Amino acid sequence: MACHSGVILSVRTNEQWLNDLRSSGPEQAEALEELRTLLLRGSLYTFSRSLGPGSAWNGEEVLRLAEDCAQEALIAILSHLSDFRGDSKFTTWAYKFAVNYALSTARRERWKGISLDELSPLNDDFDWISSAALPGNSPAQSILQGEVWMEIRRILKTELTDRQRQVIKWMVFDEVPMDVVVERLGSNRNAVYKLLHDARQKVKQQLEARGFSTAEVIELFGSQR
Amino acid sequence: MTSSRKTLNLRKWLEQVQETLPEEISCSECFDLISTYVDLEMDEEPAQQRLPLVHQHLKQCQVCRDEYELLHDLALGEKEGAVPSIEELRRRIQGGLE
Repeated sequence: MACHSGVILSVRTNEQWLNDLRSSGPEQAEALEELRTLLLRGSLYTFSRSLGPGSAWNGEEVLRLAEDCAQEALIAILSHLSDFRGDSKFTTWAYKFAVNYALSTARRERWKGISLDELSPLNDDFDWISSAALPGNSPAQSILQGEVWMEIRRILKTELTDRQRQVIKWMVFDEVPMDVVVERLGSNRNAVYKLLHDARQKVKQQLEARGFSTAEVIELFGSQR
Repeated sequence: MTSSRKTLNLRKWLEQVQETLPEEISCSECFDLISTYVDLEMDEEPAQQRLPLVHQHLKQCQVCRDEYELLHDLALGEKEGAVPSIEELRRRIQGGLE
């Protein structure tokens, strides 16, 4: 038996987990109870790490959310047991469900009541990316920074769709979590990730087509820190 | 947001642009593989080489990165017998600590 600060777990193999969860009677009940405990611990751990110091969150409310997330994770795991291929430990595989539900919930709760429309507007000045003036280390560097900055603005303005620009502004520059953006757009994580990926590809291709190596561009903006 | 923060965000995004691959895995595909990736690390196997597209996705996707870091810490805690108990975690949350 493994003991973690008073929590006693039996050490099951992957096969034992699957067999017991799929069985009936006391073996299944015991496995379910252990799995619930594991998921609740994963969910609570995730919330505890997601709360900032001096958080304004109501502790009891967070505990309730953690319990709900653990329950949702349990339901998801039981419906996806056939997906477990044994490439990892069952406990690690199970933990990821708890972490996923808890972190998504924590992010949405943190942004509840904050309208994305309250953020600075998307505009053609692109001041939501960086200040208009980028002080360089030398006159030559300043000129190059100006050229690169104009090119990046051109690419953003003419090569990306409105949706790509808006999502980039929210996620990359306003630091809005993807879950919040997904909810706002009525979309899903894969679709938003693909949208960002397509945008990155366009920017990379356009910069390189204009003779700018992305590595050199990064160095220019890195020197400002 | 300060000007320096904006510039930092721009730089980080340009680094992601530089590391963009023609084909990248989705968040769902990353989720499917993340427990394998973490356990490879727990076994001190070269996870980045064995699952390079997961490694790359984690550099591009902050939400998946955040989940990975928590999962990694939980798995490491399990390995070392150091995951806090439910009672301790409840105390932390009720006390507003972390």
